[in-house]
Amino acid sequence: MSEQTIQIIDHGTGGVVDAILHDELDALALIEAEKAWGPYRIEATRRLIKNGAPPDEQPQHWHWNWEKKSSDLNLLAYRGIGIECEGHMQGLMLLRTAGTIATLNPDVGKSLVYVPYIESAPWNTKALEPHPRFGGIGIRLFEAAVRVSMAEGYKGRLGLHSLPQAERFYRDICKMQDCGLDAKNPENLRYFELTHDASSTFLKEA
Amino acid sequence: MIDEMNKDRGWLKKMAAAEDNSPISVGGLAAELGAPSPDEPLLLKAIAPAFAKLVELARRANHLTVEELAEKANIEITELLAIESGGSLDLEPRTVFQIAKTLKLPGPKLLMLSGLAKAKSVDFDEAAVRFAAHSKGVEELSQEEHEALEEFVRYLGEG
Amino acid sequence: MAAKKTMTLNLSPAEMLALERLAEQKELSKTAVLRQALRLYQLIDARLADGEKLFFEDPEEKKAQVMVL
Repeated sequence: MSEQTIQIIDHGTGGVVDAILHDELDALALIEAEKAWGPYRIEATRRLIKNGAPPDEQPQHWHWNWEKKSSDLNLLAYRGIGIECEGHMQGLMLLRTAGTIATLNPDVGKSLVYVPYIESAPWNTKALEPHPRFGGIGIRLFEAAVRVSMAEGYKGRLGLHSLPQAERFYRDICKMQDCGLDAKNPENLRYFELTHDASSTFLKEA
Repeated sequence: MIDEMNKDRGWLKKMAAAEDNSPISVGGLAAELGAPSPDEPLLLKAIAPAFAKLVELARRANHLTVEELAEKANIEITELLAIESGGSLDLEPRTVFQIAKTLKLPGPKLLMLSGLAKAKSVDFDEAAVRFAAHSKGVEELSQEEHEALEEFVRYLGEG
Repeated sequence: MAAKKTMTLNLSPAEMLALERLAEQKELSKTAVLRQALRLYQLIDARLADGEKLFFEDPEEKKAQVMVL
């Protein structure tokens, strides 16, 4: 397991707080995180439905279960990334580092890092918690994904299928290119890709 | 090992403000599992809360968690959550019968209560509304809830 | 992180040429190509062991060829 100190936003103080970025999580870490996240996520979603929240305000990922994804980490092609603060995982991401290639020019056919799963802790998600605990989890995980892609020799190239609610984040904040609805995706989600050039711009600013 | 992450606090604050704790999730299986969609409210009638309450109280009286009941009844946890919260999933008769079987409730009556079958008498509606009005809590079953549940289940079992 | 281990790899000229070409095409180091090949081999092997099938499809002839590892 490899780790480094990073900073995230502490909404309690409005300032910046140190956190630990783990870039080689094992399956056990995912199982432990799910123990805390699962009940919180389901309870919060239940509360939303009870309060009559319209569907576009209900989280689209509430049925997730990191425990089920943990076995992927037994394979070399997958890598688990997590942000830990105050003894809890504040964000988790699963990356696949083999078997996916870029579709955008001039990177067509070149390897990229694919993001199959990513999630902020439910208490850091506005849709589930009106007063989120920590901020900047998404952008930190995204930055880590770009850096993993660099370390793998994939030059920052990334690909992912965004849930509709997260499209704004990947398009407007992460500056990924929106490649449109992917007919080959079983759920017909929009595919987003970060080219080598776009990743260089992102890292220059970061 | 990846390179050192950005230490610029100004950049972090700017990006975190833009992110604004909004959803970041990708992939997922929402379509496969059938995410809740209240486009067509299933439970419109006055007895609607009774169905939600009956399932919840009967589950708790059986000392089952939502997960446990879903597993025992072999139904999706999403459906059960939607049912108990008076939600709006398109309910399958099979789901209602599975719940009825697991919680030992009369299936056809439960189907009426769910709105999937038409209630045959005014008495039925009245009993359901009375039951719904008597059951409010969400933690341990109170004495009052026990009595309301027993009375209603007795009624459902009649005829 | 656990320390990396080094090994010597004996490749025939043809194998080395294939590796060099792949590295050039994919803009990866030779080590990165081999590492990715190992990851894919393991991933596919695990899925085949789970009962899944791997096949290549020819869209023109509409024929699918089942692959094994």
